[in-house]
Amino acid sequence: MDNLPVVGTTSSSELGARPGIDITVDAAGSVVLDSSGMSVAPEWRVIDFTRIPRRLRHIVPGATGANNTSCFTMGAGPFQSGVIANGLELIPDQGPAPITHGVIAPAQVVPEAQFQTDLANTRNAWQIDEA
Amino acid sequence: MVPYPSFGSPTFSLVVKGLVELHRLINDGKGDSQEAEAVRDALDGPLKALNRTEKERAQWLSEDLYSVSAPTATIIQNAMNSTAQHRLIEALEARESRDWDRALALFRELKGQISPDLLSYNRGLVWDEADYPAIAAEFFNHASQIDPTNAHYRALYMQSLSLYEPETARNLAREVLANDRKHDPLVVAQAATIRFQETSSASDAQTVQLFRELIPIMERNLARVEADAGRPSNAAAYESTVGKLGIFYELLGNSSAAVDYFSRGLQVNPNNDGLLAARGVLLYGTGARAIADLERAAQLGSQLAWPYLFLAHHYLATSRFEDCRLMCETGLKVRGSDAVKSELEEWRAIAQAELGFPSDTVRAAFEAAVRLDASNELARRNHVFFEASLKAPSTRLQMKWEQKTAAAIRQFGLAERRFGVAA
Repeated sequence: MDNLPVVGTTSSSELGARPGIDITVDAAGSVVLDSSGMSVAPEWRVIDFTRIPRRLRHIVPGATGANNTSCFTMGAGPFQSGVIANGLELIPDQGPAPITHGVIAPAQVVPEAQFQTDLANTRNAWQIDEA
Repeated sequence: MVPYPSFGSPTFSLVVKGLVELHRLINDGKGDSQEAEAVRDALDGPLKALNRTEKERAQWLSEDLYSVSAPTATIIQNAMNSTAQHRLIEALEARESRDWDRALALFRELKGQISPDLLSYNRGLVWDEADYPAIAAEFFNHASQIDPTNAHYRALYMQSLSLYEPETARNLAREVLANDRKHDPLVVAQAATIRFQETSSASDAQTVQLFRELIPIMERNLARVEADAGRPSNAAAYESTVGKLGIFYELLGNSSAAVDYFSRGLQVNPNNDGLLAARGVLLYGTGARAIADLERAAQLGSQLAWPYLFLAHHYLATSRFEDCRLMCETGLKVRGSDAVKSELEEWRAIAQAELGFPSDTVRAAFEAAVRLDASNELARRNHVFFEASLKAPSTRLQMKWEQKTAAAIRQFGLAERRFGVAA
């Protein structure tokens, strides 16, 4: 309980990407660059209400997320395409503004393990943001 | 054809199912469990597929579902002022006009100003009318838990439950019927309705056996209603009980007893469209009384298909083609089986042909009839006859359509009522 995200690939609330759900892994074990990755949003209030912890229901009505998870933010830059950490890039969804979803994907083809490590390495850059 | 615009896409229905499940887990203290997480995972895809309106609707539904688990003692009741009264009227009008999002929003604003049971009851009605029985059942059950003495709440809960968790509803109905004297007569009548629905998949022998079990319970129920005139739910319980008894006797072949029960109900409420339709169907082909009953049911805007089906047949048989066409179109807008809708499409096609509608319009109706019920041989043959008549226009004035007899359509209606939805 260090107020940092839990690294893992078993839940969408963890810092990691679930193979077959969040990312596609090819036969060689590399992440396919198909604009999939770990889901992120420009701010926590626009995350699906089923993922926002229930304790925040006074801010986001209907929130039904687990209370043993938190909303985290990383950096202060705009929500736009670009490299955000070593080996990682942000890919916002296409479509009309406002964009409310995007993914953090590998910046180039890498083995899945490398991608998970790159994500895990960002752990200290995240901080709880529920205000 | 659907009766009204749907209140949500098939994906929204999936989301609704998941939300109900998730809220049940939260209510059971399992909101942080792996089980709840699996439900959230399953909801991710459907939620993303919703349009903005549906997504907002789902989110507000989730918020409203929290009221089901809110401890009622902590809800502060403010005195209802004129603004709240005005809002309540607006909400009821919005529900009446099927503007369900607005109705739900207005009821939300009334939280704390009307009693929690009344709030849940009204929310239940909205979702019930919007064809989401799973949600309706949650709210009706909540209302019933707050006020266990209100038989309407309990009966509505059982009715909604039977639509989405039929096995649970059947077990509940068996419990009620096993101790019928301990339950309000309206709840007993609802339990009998649920058990009656079992006959749609039962053998004839099982059906007869079930009716023989239910008839004494319903007769006892009727005696209780008649003995206690002051009970708030009495009028509804009386109409429902005599209606059930009428149907049971009708399906057992005792038409005179059935007519007697339907008539007893109509003496209490001459505007009960279900009873009017039931008596009209039973007496169809025997005289003017049946037609008067069916026409009255149709005038009342019955949401049952039977008045429109039988009147359409009657008007067709008496060459009142415009009336037939209108009845078919009204009947196609209410709930009914594909077999019923197939008949209505076929008769609409015939009426349109007789009224000189464009051949493409007539053809579309015949094709719809066959598509809805491939076993509708009359529709198939009448369609062939129609196409042949187009090639020999001189014969059009002497069209001789094949039609069901009054007895055949009555038999069809009887079977459909057993295998369809109880009146």
